[in-house]
Amino acid sequence: MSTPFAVVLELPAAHRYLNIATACIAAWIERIEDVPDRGMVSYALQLAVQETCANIVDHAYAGAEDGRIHIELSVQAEPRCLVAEIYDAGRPFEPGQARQPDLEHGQERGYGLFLMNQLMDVVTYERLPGRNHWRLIKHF
Amino acid sequence: MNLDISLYSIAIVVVRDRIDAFNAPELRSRLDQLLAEGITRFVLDLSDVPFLDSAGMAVLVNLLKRARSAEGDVRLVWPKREETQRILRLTKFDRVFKIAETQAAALKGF
Repeated sequence: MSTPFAVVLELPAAHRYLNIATACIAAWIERIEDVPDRGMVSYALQLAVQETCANIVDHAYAGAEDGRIHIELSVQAEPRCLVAEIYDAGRPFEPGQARQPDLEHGQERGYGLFLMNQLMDVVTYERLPGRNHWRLIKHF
Repeated sequence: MNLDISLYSIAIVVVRDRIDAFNAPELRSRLDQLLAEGITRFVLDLSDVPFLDSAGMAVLVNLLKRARSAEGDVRLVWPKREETQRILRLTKFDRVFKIAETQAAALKGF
């Protein structure tokens, strides 16, 4: 259940539309009062949501054309934080398959989850009946 | 006449859009074309890249590996945007790649 001031987005699960989510996050954070280091906070949440959604497109839906991604954005108090709740009805996420990137030599895969964890204060995943739920939290 | 002539072909690729999961395949395809034409040295100017995600980073690493395996290299130019610079530092791209402040500085290294 979203809070009264939550921003709710629903997108087709395709890379083509993910810039809508990041543009919306940027515009949303512009209107939140007293966000220190606003540029960094905004970019961090945009990138974390982008990575989450790209993983949903590539892995949870894995080529299915009719998938949807549901995103809820809200501000919470004490401690003040931005929360992005992301839902999809694709396959469950399997944490064991996520690889840590080789940061010393560079590699082509594995940066997505790494960046999510680096940029957010909290990243949680849970499997609900028939759908996946990611929660990203950024304190400010 | 004692002449010493050297020809170098270095591709300078200036990216002005976000590099994300949607348009990374197009960038990769353009870079593949250059590699197929025999170019192995690249300067990727990221000055005006407003947003870079892991799919975009994968394209950069892929190019680096292929260029180096052909005895070439890839140099980057730092994005102007501080937030994008931070991502390159978090992922230690500033250790994997040589990153310069300007195109001219990037070219000097070759």
